[in-house]
Amino acid sequence: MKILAIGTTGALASVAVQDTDKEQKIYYESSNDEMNHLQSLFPMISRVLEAAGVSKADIDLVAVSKGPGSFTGIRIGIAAARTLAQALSLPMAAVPTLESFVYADEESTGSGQTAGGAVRIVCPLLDARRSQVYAAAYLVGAAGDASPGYREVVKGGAYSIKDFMALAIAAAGDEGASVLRMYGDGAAAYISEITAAAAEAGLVLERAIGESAYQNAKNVLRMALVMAEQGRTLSWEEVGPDYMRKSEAERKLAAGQLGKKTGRKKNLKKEQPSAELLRALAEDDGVVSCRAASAKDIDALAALDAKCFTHAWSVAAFKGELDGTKKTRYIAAENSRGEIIGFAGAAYVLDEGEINRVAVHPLFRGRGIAGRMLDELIADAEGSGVAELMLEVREANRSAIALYKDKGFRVEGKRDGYYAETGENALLMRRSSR
Amino acid sequence: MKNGEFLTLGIESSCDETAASVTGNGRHVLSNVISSQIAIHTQYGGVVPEIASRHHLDNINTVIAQALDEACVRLEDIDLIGVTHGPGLIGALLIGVAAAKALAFARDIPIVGVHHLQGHISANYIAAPELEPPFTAVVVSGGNTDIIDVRNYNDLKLLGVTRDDAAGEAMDKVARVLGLGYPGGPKIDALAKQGNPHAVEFKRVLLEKGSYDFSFSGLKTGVLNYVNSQKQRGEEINTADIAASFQMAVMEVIVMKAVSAAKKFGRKKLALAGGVAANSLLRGMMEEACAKNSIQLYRPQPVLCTDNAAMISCAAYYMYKDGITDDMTLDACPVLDF
Repeated sequence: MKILAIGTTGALASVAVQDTDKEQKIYYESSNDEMNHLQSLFPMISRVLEAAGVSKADIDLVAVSKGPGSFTGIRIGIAAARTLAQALSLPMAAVPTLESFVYADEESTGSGQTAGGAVRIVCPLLDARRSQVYAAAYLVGAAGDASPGYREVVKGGAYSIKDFMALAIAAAGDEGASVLRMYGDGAAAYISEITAAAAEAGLVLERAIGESAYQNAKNVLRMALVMAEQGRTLSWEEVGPDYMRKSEAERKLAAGQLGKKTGRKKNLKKEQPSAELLRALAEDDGVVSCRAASAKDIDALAALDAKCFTHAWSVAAFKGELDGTKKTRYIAAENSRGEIIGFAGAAYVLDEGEINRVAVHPLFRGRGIAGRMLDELIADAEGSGVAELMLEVREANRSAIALYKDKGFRVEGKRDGYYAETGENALLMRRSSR
Repeated sequence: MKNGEFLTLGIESSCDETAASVTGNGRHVLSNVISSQIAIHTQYGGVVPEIASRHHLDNINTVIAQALDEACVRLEDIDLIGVTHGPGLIGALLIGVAAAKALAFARDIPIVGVHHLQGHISANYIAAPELEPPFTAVVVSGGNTDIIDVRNYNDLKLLGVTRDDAAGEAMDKVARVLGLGYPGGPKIDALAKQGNPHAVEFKRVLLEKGSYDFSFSGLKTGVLNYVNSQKQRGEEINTADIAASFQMAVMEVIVMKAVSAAKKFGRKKLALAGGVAANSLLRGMMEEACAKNSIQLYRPQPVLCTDNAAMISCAAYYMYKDGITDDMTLDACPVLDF
């Protein structure tokens, strides 16, 4: 069988081709730039087919990684693969992205067995931002499991990292597994939470490294072969994406049923100012300047965050925002002593941005600092081609809502009970520069 | 090729319509399939990019299959693939571009990326078989208010653009202020018919002398302020009068600038395009102004004014004839210069 596999759900796009009648070798190429999937995909397909000596007219099966992952990436992969199948009248394999990671295991440690033969729980975690992951867990290496030699023990879906770790650890207990093996960019993003949870449960934590730690068309191809053997192929009409999450606007429409979601908290922590701060305030000359924040500001940002919110972000969380792995923009406001007294940050995905955090030191509020930082952020977004900015804000936070309105944000909807600890509603606001 | 005609398959997915069309020799429409998402976006009060992208993906392949079926051709008969590659919503554009590239790749068919505006202008070639450049084109839609000097099929010069809101965008927003809902253009048009277009003389913004650019955001704010002040005074708001007066203010400026551009460049033909080209007031006023200035007016039928793929197919055909093609690195461009 000659099979073409496409994987575009992660940061890098990749293509794999194998002619199983001819050789065991999987021909493979991965893009070297992030987020140029649409441009790189077809030239890559062309090169990999040629390297494998397979002409496109001879392909027997088109496999595609159907999600979860980057929404845009999922769509490029499905549109490309499905149209190829349509144009060449070929069957397809719609490979679940999370489950395909089980097939990475053999490459990183050999034949699906952990060193020492321990039974393991394989956990692919894809970062869904804001402490959320798309994740699943699979039991691998258990005696008596029929082909394909693994089974799902935590159902694939969108979880908070905390909930997912609890489920994975419980599954390990039930199945007598002693090893958790983590894959995906979610494992990198939330490694401190993961490490802490595994240590507390007394489990051995392994983390896949290198290429096989991330979405990869080789794994898509391997799983597609198994699916083909099992007769699980589809016609192009039957293939669709598996986002595992409704769009923001759809969730907003159905907000009434979304009570138990956890997310960002913006509760003001009531705290007496320290003597040091009072002194700083007394010496304050009122001069505030804005600049871009960078990785060297992480500690200062985390310290300020803890002063502003009851549920503060960890240092690790700020690292994740500022270490360059995500396309983010953070603006810091400094007083004339060079102390950071406010910050505002947004994450960009293609032409959309989400303002994740706006914080001003309690003693420096009411001076228009948040507004200045927002102006900077909006200007940067527009300059970066980010035409839409979104944010969530507590319904009761009238001054913030008024500020956002002043800056051109419109209330787009409401999420009932969004802030888990208080049950308060969140307003969704959007600003479009189109 | 079929029956001696060069067959172009056009694909369009730049906003909220998923469309595919087959044309013969550019102007002969063999099929024109449009899958609209308007009903879906109505419940959100406007186009939601993520939802639009999801629906494009759900529909694209069946729309393509239907376009081939209705044209009674097979993919192997197709000589050229044309696809809108910008400007538009990036998430929406890339569905069409990915599908178009897959077809071109699978069947070794040449591909050409089409500018959405050039597509709109090309709708006139379909509607009027005798139309040839040069002429002045006016594209008025939800995203554009542009005046273009069409010197030749692929030699287009942008004379003026909107500096803020497009006419269609301003209409959508005013419709929202008046509580008319989405999409605003047709609703304003219908309501305006019952109103007095001179009830309120909203300020016309003409910008500098000789400029073909537009600015509608001030007009939009003017309507908003008028409505608010009427409300504060407790006076009843006549929405039909406001719709009519607002629409008159928008159209007057467009007509004036379009006709003066045609005269300046010595064009004897003027072609309307874009979704708002279906607006009855614009059509009527433009007809009058053109007749007065001995300019021949071209207006495509409404189905060719809204986003469709026949216009993309037609534009692609004339690009290909001029030797313009793309390769497999063709990308979707949310912002694309003319």
